[in-house]
Amino acid sequence: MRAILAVTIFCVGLTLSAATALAHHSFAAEFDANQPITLTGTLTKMEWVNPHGWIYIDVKDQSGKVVNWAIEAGAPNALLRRGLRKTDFPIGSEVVVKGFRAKNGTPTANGQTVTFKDGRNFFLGASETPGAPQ
Amino acid sequence: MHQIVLTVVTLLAALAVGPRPAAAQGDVNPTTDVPPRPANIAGCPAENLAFHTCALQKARTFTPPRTPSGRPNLQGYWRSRLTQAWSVEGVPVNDPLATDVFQAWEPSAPEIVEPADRKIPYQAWAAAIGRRGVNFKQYIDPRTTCSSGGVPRLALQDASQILQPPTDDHVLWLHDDHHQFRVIAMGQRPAVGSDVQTWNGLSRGRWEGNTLVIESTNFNGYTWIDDAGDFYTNTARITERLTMVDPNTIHYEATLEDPTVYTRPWKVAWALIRETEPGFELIEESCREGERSLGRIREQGARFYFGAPWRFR
Repeated sequence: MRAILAVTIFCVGLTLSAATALAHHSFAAEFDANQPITLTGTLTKMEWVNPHGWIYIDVKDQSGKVVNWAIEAGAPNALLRRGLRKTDFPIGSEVVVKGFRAKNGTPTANGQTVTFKDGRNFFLGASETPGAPQ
Repeated sequence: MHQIVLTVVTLLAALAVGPRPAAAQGDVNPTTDVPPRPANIAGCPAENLAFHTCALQKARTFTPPRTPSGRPNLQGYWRSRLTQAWSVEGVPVNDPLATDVFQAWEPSAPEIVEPADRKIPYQAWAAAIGRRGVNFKQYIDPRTTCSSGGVPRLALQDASQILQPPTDDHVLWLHDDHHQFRVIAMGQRPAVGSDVQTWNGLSRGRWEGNTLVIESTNFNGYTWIDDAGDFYTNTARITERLTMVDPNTIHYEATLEDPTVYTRPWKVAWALIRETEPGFELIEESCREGERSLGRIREQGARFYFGAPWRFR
């Protein structure tokens, strides 16, 4: 009886191995889900590297000072297989990034979405970003 | 009777339409990258234990394609199904981590098919370390440091390639993940002393009918079996069996033994399905080239894992 109960509790999902393979590290250890952040800035650099890429954006804070933020982005292999290329991220593009701040207070965030001015929306959430679209 | 009811319930659970898997966590576009969830795999139910039983039955009457030298031909690109990275013991719907805002663990069936309770048969001292215990709470997952997923975790990481060079001396299993590869020596070889300890073990393979049987020893025990920090030590022995069920499906199972950690052997099973996209290639994940997170993770107090909890128990 217990065994049947155990089975029925499980919502049997076919988890996509693509997602599980990229569960690279614990989001919670590095970033703070209590510090969601939206950044509007211009793209200064994109590092197309493993295990996940990084995009850098210049963001003007309230005082007008420009701070360069590092945003943890998607794994290049997955982006490549999706047909994306480094050239899809032109330097100087205006982008809006939604993500979560690093716990250590540096201008670093775990990117959840990146939206370009022309409306393109690249989901660049690094592994285990909370609230990722289903 | 009990068995029949169990199977029926499992089947019903498998067919129930749950929420779409959170495949978009991570680097997957939910509209283009997520293949539709199949109702079955090779005509077998899409749940690990049900698939395990059904697939082995089907395999008995399936004749796999042959290599020129007459061996079953398992070559090609493969992707795992009925797998998740979180825990081989599965994630129940009411699991606290299933709704955790940091890292939602998708409710999923266990990958364990034996023993019947589908839990790792840990000895008491080890249960406190695995199963989201000491390892999970205090240490950094070895994959996070770009080390190997080890065995059998590599077999559930995505996109691998099996090669059978024509001399039949070896079978090669290459992985996208963290530039890992396994060399399986076929035929009899002399044993290697236990002081030789490796991340993915030393593997010896043989054919039993249409099944590739891989026996691996000489592990260093520095790997985790899953994200929950389940583990084995350097006394582990793992036996994997790969059997084609149909032209595009392999039944994969692994039996894990480690008298230091477990009270008995236990087994996981899932499917490998053939990747058929034209032009598909493995892409090396050169993890260390751009790993930038470890500093911040260590700042939060997590430690590197080299088996300390079991080595210094």
